[in-house]
Amino acid sequence: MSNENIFSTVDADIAEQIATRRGALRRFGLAAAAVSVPVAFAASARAAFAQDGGAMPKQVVDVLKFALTLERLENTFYEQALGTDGLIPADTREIFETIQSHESEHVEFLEEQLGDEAGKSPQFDFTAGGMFTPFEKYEQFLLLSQAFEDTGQRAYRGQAPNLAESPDVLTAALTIHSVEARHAARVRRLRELSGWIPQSQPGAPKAVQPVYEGMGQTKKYGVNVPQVSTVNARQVTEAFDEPLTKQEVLAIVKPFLKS
Amino acid sequence: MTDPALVRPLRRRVFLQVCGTAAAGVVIAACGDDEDEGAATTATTPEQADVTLDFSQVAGVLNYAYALEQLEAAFYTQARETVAKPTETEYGRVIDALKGHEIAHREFFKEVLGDDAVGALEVNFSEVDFDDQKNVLEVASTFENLGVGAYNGAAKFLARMGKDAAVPLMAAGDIVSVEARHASVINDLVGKSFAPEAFDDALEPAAVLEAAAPFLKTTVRVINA
Repeated sequence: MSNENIFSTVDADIAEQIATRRGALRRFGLAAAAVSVPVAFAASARAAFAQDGGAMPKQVVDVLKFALTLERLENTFYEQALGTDGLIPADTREIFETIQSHESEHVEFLEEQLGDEAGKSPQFDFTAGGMFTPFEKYEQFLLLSQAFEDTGQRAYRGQAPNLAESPDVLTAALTIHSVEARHAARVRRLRELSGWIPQSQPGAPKAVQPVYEGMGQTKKYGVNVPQVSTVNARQVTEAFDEPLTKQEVLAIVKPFLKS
Repeated sequence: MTDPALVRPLRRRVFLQVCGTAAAGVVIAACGDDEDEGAATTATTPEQADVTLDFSQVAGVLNYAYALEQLEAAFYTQARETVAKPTETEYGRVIDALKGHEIAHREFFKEVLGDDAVGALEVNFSEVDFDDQKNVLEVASTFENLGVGAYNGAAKFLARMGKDAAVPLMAAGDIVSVEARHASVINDLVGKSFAPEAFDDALEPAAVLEAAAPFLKTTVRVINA
């Protein structure tokens, strides 16, 4: 597939913008034969909706704005951590550079989709009013990193129903959702935990427990999986990540937002 | 989300008879006789002839997930047999956990599909050296990253079906992130990046089935995708 073909359907200015952006092709899967996110969406979800004769539905805008807040929180968190001398040991620095670069791309993508609706980034207080010292103690940094990544994954998952009527936006959100899960798994392992979320969180500080609210159920959509299979309750609860509602997520991140 | 009442309407509205119904989401080249159909339990699921998955039907998309989970579950079941004490090494812990997760996924889809579930696919792991942990992890990496792309790419088909596919879409969403967690762990163990890109792939079903084909004796095709 040549670039000419890829971009022939979109506005020339936007196409040029995309073509000059690092990783833009890979980002939208255009380098691979299997393309799911149409180029119209790659250029701008707003433009795509406008072509169909309407504005981006408010429900979609709300999801993207919500996602942008979380991505800005994550990106700012890692930027500050990576900029703090002596915080992150040399042997794990690459992991967080990778994660930060992804969060930065997510922010950029969502800002591009939202245009003026993106607004300015909120200010963050990663001490949550003095509860944490993530930029002084590496263990605290890891704890919050895990909490933010697991929250991010469950938050995107929770918004999927709100994107069901916009399959292309849903697909784009899912391709971010699974990356948040990859991040979460990597950070969890740095804390000597399993990559997946276990049935219960023994020893988890109270402040991060809401991140894991609602996990630990063995009945999935009416199917009590341990009853119909050889697997046990622990295995089943690990095997399914359940969503967090917007309200649950906002309650988790609120202490980190400067009022 | 876990209202027990969900599964029955789900079956009634969404899952159609596999054999003998024009609108079925799955077209099976050779439908089993009644005895085989009735015997479709975990232990005695009949082996499946060639399968065609109709992506215009919810059952077709869910059988796609069921097929991939069958493949993964069979792979880790075999890999697990070479691990004597799974708690003693990270390899053992991971293989043991993944076996459990993939069986949970497989049995979940089998249960929600009910009579619409395809039979047991025949796998082909003749090229895998299960005594070579690195080889097992390489293949696992292929499966897990493929699984992530497969679920991400299948979502739009369910989304386009509207309300009838709302519940299956949510279930797939609960599973894809676990596949992504697996991919992260396995990639890391095998020396690849845990998250190679800021945006994961969303793969078309035909591409996924092509990648999976060397590991399947049963031919799985897709239509209307």
